[in-house]
Amino acid sequence: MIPSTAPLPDAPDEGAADAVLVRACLDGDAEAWATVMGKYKRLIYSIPIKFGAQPDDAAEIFQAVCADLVVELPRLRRHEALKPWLMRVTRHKTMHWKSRSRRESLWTQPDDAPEHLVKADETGTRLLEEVEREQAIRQAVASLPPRCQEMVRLLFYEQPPLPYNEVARRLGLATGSIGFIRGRCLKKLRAQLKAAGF
Amino acid sequence: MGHFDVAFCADFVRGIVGADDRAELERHIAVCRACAANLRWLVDVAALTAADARYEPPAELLTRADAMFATAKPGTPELPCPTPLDEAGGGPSSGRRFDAGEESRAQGRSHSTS
Repeated sequence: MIPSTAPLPDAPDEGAADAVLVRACLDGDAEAWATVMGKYKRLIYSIPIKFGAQPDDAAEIFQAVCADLVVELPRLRRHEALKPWLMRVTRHKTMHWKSRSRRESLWTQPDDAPEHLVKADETGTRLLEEVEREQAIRQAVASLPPRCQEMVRLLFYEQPPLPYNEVARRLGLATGSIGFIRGRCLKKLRAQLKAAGF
Repeated sequence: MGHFDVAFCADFVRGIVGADDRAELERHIAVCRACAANLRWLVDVAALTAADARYEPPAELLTRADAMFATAKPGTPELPCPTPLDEAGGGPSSGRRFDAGEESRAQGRSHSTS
């Protein structure tokens, strides 16, 4: 099965939570800033990586986005729109990097053919939808109780998949009790993702 | 036949069920929309989380971001605002560089992943 890539609506609670964080940042609250970074660091960094940037270029783009965010925070008209703002700015900087590196490489392939540009645009749209869905999952996981967060991380984020006795060991649970807790956590995750329009 | 529970479907997606169980679930989802839907969101989650560690930025970038925040104090009126919000963007080179002293002032704060 292929993951679907339909765009997600912004969860209203997330927007409200971001508005609170932005206001706290404007009050100089360093913890709020660290929370913003913790919440969106992977979203920002993932965009240049998905568009083909090497780690050095992705790092430069990440740093430029953070610099812009610090400068622009006081003028962010809709505090709840932090995530779309970050995505827009990161994409813009990534596209700028991409066109600059294309010019510098002096490629002679027919990149300017209209059908190629249309295809590139479709790919870009698909990648950004993927970025949004990944962020929706991160936020859904972050909204779970701590033990469920850890369970979901052990189940899905560890590659290769961990055997259940190892999951139980890391969670400090008896292997026999994993089944019930696992089902309960997955149902909670499902509910959070549904609420986010996933 | 009854439905498969979400935990079993997760095991299926993680590729840790036996061949017989796998075949049984595959036959079942061909005729059961509820289980097919249960499986679909788990497949999405597994696919989208598999590569997530690739998107963790190096810790030094977060330290620098903290230093930018500590230096700029975004709420202050004298803050320079070189880029209009609606035209924000520009190349990576527009990022500001910060010295080691600024970085060290930002040490000690953590950035948990959401």
